[in-house]
Amino acid sequence: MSKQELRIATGSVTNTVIFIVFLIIIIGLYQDGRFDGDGAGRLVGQSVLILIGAQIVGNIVVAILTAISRAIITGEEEEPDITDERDKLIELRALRLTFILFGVAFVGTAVALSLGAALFTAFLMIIIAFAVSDLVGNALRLVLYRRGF
Amino acid sequence: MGKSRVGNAIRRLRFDHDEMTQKALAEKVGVTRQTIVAIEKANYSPSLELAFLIARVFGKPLEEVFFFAAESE
Repeated sequence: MSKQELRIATGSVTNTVIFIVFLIIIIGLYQDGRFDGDGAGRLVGQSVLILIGAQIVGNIVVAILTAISRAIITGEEEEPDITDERDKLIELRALRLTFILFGVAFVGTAVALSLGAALFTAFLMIIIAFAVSDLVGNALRLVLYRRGF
Repeated sequence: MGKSRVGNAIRRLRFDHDEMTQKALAEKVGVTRQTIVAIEKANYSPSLELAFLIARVFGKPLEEVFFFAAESE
């Protein structure tokens, strides 16, 4: 497994674990009735910021731990961090897929809202779409790296 | 995706140049070793700029390093 593949795989696992924990907490708060009333919008904003922050910190910590573990296990020097034209093309294709999926889910959320879905449902749909589209984008990155392009 | 119709003679040329490693070639042209692997296997067609850089490393004209596999049409 190349350095890029390892980075994508560990990043995906980290994001998924953090997201599942986040989802469990959010659903718990919903069941406690915290998303009802005037403070709901504020709680939604805060929870999204916390999710983003946790994912950034989690990814940094896991990337450092992975790099150290890899160096210890393989005994190799860390390769220079080069991003070449193939990396950029893979990144573009994966980002395109992520944006398309998220865009479709966003429209789906708008449709659900127009049909009378609750705001909390729409919020859940948006953040699940965010997580799933990111995961699918990372899966495409892995496939492209495995195939060569 | 899949096999590119642009073939190449990089593997043979590396062998002819004192068995140059993929890593050494990658460092000379400024890409990752995985990109050289993908190009050699014809899974990825390099940009014109990268193709010229690779040809220059071997001191060959571009058409002696890369060729268009028209027979696969």
